[in-house]
Amino acid sequence: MAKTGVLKFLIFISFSICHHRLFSQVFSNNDDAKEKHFVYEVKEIDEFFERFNDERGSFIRGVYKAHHVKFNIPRQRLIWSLFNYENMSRDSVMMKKFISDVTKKQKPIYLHYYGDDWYAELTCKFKYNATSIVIPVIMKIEMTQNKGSKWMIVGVGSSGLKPKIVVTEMAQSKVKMNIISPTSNGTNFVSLKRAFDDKENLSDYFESTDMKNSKMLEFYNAILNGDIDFTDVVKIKYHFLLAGRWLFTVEDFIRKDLNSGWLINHMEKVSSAGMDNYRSKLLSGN
Amino acid sequence: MRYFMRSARSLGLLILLFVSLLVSSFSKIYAHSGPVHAGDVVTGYANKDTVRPASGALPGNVSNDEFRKKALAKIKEFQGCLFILCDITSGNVALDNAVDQATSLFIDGAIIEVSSLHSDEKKHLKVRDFLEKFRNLHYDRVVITFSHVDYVSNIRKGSDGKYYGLVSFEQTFRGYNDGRLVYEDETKKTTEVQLIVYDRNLRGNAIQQWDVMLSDVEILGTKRPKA
Repeated sequence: MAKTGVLKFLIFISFSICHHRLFSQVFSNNDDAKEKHFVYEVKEIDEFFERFNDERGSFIRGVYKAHHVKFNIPRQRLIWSLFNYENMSRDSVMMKKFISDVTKKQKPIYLHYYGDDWYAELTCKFKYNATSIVIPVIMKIEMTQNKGSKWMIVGVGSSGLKPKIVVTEMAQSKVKMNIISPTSNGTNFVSLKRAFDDKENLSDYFESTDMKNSKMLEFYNAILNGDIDFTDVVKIKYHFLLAGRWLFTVEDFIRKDLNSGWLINHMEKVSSAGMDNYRSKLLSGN
Repeated sequence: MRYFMRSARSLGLLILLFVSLLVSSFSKIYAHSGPVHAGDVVTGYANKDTVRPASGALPGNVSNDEFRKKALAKIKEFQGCLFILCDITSGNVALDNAVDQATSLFIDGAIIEVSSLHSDEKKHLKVRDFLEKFRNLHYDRVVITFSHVDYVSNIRKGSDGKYYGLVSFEQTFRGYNDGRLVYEDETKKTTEVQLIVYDRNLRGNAIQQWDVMLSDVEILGTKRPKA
């Protein structure tokens, strides 16, 4: 009986070791290992899109090609690798259902960078009355007539600012060419510093239809009047509202595991009404 | 006998688990990855995500591949300037030139954000200020190594008509005094790049030319600095 117990213990240990080596691989202090980590880490949200959609020109396919190795990883496995295993069980029913749904042969579901189904939630730090405050700012990629795109502020969360609305309508900007570039996300939206300093064209960076929102108007006024001074973006979280039924958030997990970078940290399946409610809450900053 | 049967069953289970893990694991592809080099970046980036909204070719008859290669060349040029700046044998003239050359690679107003996983503080610097700080580091010897593989994102057309992309890579910095390693850090650097198209007058004819400029940079310390 005791020997059986020992054997079972050894099996458990062996499984744990294999499990650890294969799924939670950690790079050691050598250049090859670091490069391996760099290859498998989801480095930018752009790469998250590439892997999710299994795009032909993805970075990971490029690395395989460069090594003359046939790329035969199915899309299911690529999506599976985009979950944060430290928070979500790799075998969860939810994960399996999701992967099965988005990879259906008849009607696969893809992410669209220029689509309406995702938002960036930025936790922004500001100087306010000699202290620091954080205000959530919701941003979205918006397409323009010239088939270009830019990040726009579409929602603002609770700020704790004293309501002081001076301007009730946004001023028309003098130069209509100032934008928060569609790749600003890659540099931690540092371009917000330029945008918030550009008082003359401040309205360029806000979605005008949302200015009826009192929080947004308060925020706009506070920046315009110099009541708050942007310091930096503390954290970015992306919200995806996919196919009218899947909600998930993606955050950056910087760690030594190969399962690192921009990963899905929360997921739920919702009804159509639940989806509308989520979007509405997100945009109103609640 | 029963003990052996049970042991065999358990051993079978172990083998099954092991095989199943090997077969099903995404990690099996790691076995194929060997050293990768800068020249190995993705080519032929036909991507629906990029092409759909910004339909048609890039301006100035630039191909996506050319844009990416030029972006990487600019990053390498910038890295080359950093090498000169931290070489203690460089004279003042060489240092001045390296600062000027590195600054000229960036668009006006570009911001460099420096932060670390181990600190809440984030610094925003102008390019020239960043380079001057870099130039004034006091080490007998500095060794900078860059990852051999770079990530280059999709190219995206901005509503301002410019084209944007991202280049990410990793850097290890080591500072030595009296032959001893006295400082070491690891950073992930992401640089935004822009495609600039301009007209050049050649014997009275305006010829459209293009270049890639570096823009905002995020430098994130990923390892607690060893000091």
